[in-house]
Amino acid sequence: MTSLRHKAISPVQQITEALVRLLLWLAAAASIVATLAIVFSVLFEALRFFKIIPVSHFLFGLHWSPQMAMRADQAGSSGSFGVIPLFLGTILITLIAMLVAIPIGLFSAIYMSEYANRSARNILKPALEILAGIPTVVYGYFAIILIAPALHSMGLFLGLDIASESALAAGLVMGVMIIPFVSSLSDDIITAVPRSLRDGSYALGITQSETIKQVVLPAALPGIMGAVLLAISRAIGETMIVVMAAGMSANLTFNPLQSVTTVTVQIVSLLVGDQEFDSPKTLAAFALGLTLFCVTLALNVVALIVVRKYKERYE
Amino acid sequence: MNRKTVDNQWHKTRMRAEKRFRFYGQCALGLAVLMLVVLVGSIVSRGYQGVYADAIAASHHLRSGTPRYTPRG
Repeated sequence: MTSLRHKAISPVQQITEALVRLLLWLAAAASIVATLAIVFSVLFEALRFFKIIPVSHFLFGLHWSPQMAMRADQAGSSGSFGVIPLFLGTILITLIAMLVAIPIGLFSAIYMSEYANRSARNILKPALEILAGIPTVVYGYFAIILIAPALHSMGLFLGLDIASESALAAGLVMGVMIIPFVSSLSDDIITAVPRSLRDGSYALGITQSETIKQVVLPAALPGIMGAVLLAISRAIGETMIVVMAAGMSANLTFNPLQSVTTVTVQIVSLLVGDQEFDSPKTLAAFALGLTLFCVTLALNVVALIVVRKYKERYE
Repeated sequence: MNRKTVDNQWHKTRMRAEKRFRFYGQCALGLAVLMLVVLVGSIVSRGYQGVYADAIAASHHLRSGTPRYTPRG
């Protein structure tokens, strides 16, 4: 069979076939090489940092103040590189963003795919996708101009002390930014669930909401999990909204009404301006990058395990 | 309570749950669209002034005898 097929195609076609195959291989290899290059460059610089600052101090330290002295006799010359406040800030803001984005995004997706008619869906889906196209700096400005003052006024009314730069303001705005990532992807995935599954459920006398909860969502779970993971990665990596709305002070707190900072914001602040590439302050950025990479990887692995465990298989 | 009443109650509960689920979807979508409107509205309401050019015209006549100032003052 194979020999017959080879006889059918001309030498020119064979060369074209080989060229296309080579191009595809190169494209795949380029992405792998780029990933490896990034990982190794971060890893080597991080190892240089860990020769100066012990890993235990970095991972379990409770104080982040990376300012190093310019002269030996300068006061406070040591610098503190405890990463806990940064990760607490990152987790707090991501958590608030997810609390906004997941319910709104998921319910919007369910409504658009299962209840809304075609014309409404054709208007609503692109309208929500506009949210994903707005630059993050505009969201930051939105948080400063509108959300933070509104939260401050609400806090005064309720007798709460809400800082002008707070994790809550940043998280809320970030959640709004992430809604289309959850809604649009989940909508596509829910729509792709075979019609026969729904029909089988309705034939048993199950209502539409019960069908969605017990048949459609379990079938779409891997895709929805992927959408949520993408949203979480986006929230963890977001910098501009945090800088503008949550501030840059590394407070060890889980209070959403106070100012916090995140890992990515600190990476930016460590690498901005003229830096010596052998000082712990600069190298700390690579250590932060490596830690963030490991955390995101672990998150992906956990999600993969969850998906495998709860995935419903249909023939 | 007879069987028919129990069935009716069960049916009503399921229908209420159905309506509630649909309402959640409408609320979520409404909230998302509201946020979009507020965001775009705030950008437009604050940004539209940027496309207008404001100018102030002040008429002033200099007399021929007005002293001229040298760099020394």
